[in-house]
Amino acid sequence: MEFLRPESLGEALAARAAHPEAVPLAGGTDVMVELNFARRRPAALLDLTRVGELTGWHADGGTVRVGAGVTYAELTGERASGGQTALGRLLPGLAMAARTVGSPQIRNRGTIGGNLGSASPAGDCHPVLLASGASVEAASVRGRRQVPIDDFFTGVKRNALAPDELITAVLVPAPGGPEQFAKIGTRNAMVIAVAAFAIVLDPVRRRVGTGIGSAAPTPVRAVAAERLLAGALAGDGLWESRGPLPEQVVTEFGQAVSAAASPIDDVRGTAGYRKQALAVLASRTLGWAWRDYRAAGQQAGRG
Amino acid sequence: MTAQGGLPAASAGIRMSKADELRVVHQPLARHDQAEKIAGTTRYAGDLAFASMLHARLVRSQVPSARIVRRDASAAQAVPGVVCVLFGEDVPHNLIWVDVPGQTVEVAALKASMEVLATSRVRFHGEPVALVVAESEEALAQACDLVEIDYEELPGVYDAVQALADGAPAVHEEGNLLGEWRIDRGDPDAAFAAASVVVAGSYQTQAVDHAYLEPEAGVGWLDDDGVLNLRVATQVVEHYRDVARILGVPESRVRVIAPYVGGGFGGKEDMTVEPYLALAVWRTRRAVRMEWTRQESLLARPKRHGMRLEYRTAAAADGTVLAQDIDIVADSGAYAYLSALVLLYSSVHACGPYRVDNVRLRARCAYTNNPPTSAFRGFGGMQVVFGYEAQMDALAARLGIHPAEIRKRNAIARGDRLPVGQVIETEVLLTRTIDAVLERGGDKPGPSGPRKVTGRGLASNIQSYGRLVWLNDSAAAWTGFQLDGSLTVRCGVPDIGGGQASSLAQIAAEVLGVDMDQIAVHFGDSSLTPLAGTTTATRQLLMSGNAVYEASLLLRDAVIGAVATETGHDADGLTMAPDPVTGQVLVTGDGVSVPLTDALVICRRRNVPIEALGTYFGPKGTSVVRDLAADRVFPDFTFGTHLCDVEVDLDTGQVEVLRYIAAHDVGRAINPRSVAGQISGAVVQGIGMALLEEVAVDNGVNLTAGFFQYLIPTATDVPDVETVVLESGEGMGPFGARGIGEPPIGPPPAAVASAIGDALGVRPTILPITPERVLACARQGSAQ
Repeated sequence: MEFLRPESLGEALAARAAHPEAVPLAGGTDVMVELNFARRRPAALLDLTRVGELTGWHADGGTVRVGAGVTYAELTGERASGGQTALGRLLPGLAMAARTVGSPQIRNRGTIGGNLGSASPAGDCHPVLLASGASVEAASVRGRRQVPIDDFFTGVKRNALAPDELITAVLVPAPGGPEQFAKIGTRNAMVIAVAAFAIVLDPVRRRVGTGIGSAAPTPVRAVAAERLLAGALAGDGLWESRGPLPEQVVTEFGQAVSAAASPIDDVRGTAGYRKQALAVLASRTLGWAWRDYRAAGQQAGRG
Repeated sequence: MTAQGGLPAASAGIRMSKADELRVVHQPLARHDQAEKIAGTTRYAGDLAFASMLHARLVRSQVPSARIVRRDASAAQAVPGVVCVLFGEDVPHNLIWVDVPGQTVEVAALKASMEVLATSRVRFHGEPVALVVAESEEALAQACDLVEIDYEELPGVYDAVQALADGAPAVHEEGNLLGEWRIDRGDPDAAFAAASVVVAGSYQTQAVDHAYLEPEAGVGWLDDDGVLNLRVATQVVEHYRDVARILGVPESRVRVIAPYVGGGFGGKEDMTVEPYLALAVWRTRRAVRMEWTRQESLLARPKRHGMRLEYRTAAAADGTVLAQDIDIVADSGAYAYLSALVLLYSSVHACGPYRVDNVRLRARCAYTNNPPTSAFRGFGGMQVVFGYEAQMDALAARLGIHPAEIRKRNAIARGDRLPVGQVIETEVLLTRTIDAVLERGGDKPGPSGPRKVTGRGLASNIQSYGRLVWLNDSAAAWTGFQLDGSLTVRCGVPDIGGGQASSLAQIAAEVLGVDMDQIAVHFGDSSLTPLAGTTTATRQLLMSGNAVYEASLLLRDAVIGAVATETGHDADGLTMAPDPVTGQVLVTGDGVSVPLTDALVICRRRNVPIEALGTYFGPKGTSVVRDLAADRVFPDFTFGTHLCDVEVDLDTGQVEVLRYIAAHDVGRAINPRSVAGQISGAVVQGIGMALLEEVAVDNGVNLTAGFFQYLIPTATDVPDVETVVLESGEGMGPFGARGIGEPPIGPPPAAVASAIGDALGVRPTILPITPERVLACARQGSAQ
């Protein structure tokens, strides 16, 4: 097995173009498992850990650009550094998702770019990225492009990257309202989700975003549920009034999210349970997000 | 000089000491092996290397039931660095006799065998078929993939009940019924007819894995004199005998060394790497290392028996249990291993810690093409807790009696007879363990939010310690003074993490007055330490503990005797103890005061040995065949009660264990820290079995061969375990200790199910209690 170790993005892209069969390796939390279990015997590994251009993040206007090599631990970061607001405060939904990943050791190694590269239906970042309308920045020797997250996941563990492309960053719209993420696993840590759900409320654009994990061949949005909720919020003037959500809206939203999923039975849970769990996750995260929205309004009112 | 039948022959004075008279025993000492384990420097079985050491790995069956039609090693042999590829025909005697290992005899009726390497038939997914030996791990991996084995798949059977049905595919030629036990006591039919209330229940427990930190591993080599050495992770150094039989060499030419073991729980009671390491060394005459991957360990090493438990229980209006009618079917997997004995334990313990005069029990274990099952902490005595405690809760609910009260009304006491016929001879503090957990528990907590409910569960149990009495169990230990007054202890006990070696040092220190830091314990070497039998069956404190106690008393009496003769005093008036001020060990009394080091000189001058071998023989009894009726089956029993508070999410079915309290009568805590550690660890393992763990098998294919799929509890899944240690002082171990290694594993699944049942009004009856099963109970509960 050939081991490629580029020192810069230029070298990395050249190596990627020359060795399209090479498997990109960042934290290794997915790839090494596959290698160790002999599920995969790639001809070459492309180690990206020395490529400085993939690390770090910055907020630019309404967008936060997160380098592909940013770890889950960095995503959860609460402390500001180098004049920057802490990433965990800039992107609270992503921080919530990152906090549920594996163990501290895995969060120190695993990266957001690697998560997208693996494109597992259970990837913890994916529901939040779907809900917030992020894009994936891909680069090759041919140039750079942005892939809308809705177009990124193309099948079970497959994504829209060309054979010569690498993920360089994720572009996430800075949140204008509350974000929530929740997942159910068969235990409380170090577990692949049985079902996961993210919700983003954007009061400025009057937009509702959703993302479902572990309940379809790819991470998916619940588009009908988004429309249903956005319609209810607009119709009842709830964005402005910040009044309590009617129980019926919460229930119907949960059902609509559940209906958007097409889960399977496996050793972690049955399809039926996943559907039920998704409805619960959707209703609950909506309740929490709306509670945050109302609290923010009261705070603004007092200020 | 030897001791037998519970009480050591030597003075019972120290043995029954009150807690406040003890100097070293009963102290919560840090174990002597603690610092190295925390620092990660302990040298476990795999942590040994020789120059130019070889590596060995098994090629295992990919299918659960098949005839082997072709085996071809030529491609594997051609890999550079491969030394040899061995099949069953290359094994001198290709049979592992699965006998009851250790220092026991006379168990022929239960013997079972399996091939070391399968030659013509495989019966489970993961069965060893070939052994590859190579110069490097890399060559090994490559060669293992190239060993060609062609299978003709055969129909299999993957459920124990189905395996016993007519026309089921035969796993072995002699049929699928591997073992059967019965208990017939009193007149159950009359008791059921006269009962005020009868409750019936069906319960299902699952196969679970031991999931110890240290996988199966070891290094083997030949000494210059041709003795085969195996330094392996094992609970049983006496497997040297099985290895000798496979190789066809005298038992004296095989030596097994057990260094500190990173967890056993019964999973290292049967042989794991031993026969394969031995073969590889024997064949190559070189040092060989073998370590099973976690996947191999999860795939193919024997598991806990899944059991179907059918109970019918009759009671009087006041809650007195009148009769039990019990049917048990256990899944033995593809080979017998210790299944028949596990099922015997289930049968003896099936009525729980309660007086029941009328019992009809039938227990069968069946061969299937599932992964084999064998010993696991609790050894059949723990699965039945899930059944009998559910029945007690059901009776309590039906009769409107508090669950604690119905248990107390039926609690076994000294002098009561177990259904199998054995009379309980020691004091039983079962009722006090119930009171202790209730008192500690206070009020049941309320729910933390809407759509959440809380519940409190209770479960008591009885679990034997020490081996079946007809196994003629024994343990030996040697104590010897060095000339400077320090002490060497030799005992064949494997220390599997329970503090076995450390406890022996405490016992010797107590008897001989020597400081703990003056004692070195050498353990777990089948050639150089006196054989002490298996670290299984909660027997080592009873067996090795009494052996060291005995050896220490003999040594003390010898030294005191020499001083008495030298000084012309009566030995009865002399004691050996540390000076309260200086700490110097003195032989004193009657106006005499001789420092130990001087006493040792006196011994040598007078030809008095300053070393002693103590052998302890367990209580004896007559063997049973199928119908269980005996005056004595086990030496004695340990009793306990657990209390568990849970919160259940009514929408997701998720269960949080809020609080867990465990109380056991341990007789006398030799080291209270070790006792608390055993109880906490068992509870966590038991909660894992209650809520998470399951060896999931689909038509014989093991789906949980990794820690991704096989989920054990993490720190976020269990609360701190609160332990309550009661001390009756009436156990049969040294200083009145009872065994505590296995007993606390029994109650957790029942306690958790009881708490969920309390929260929802419907009790889960199938393990593990997954969120889906909880939701089913919640729906059923709200429908009622």
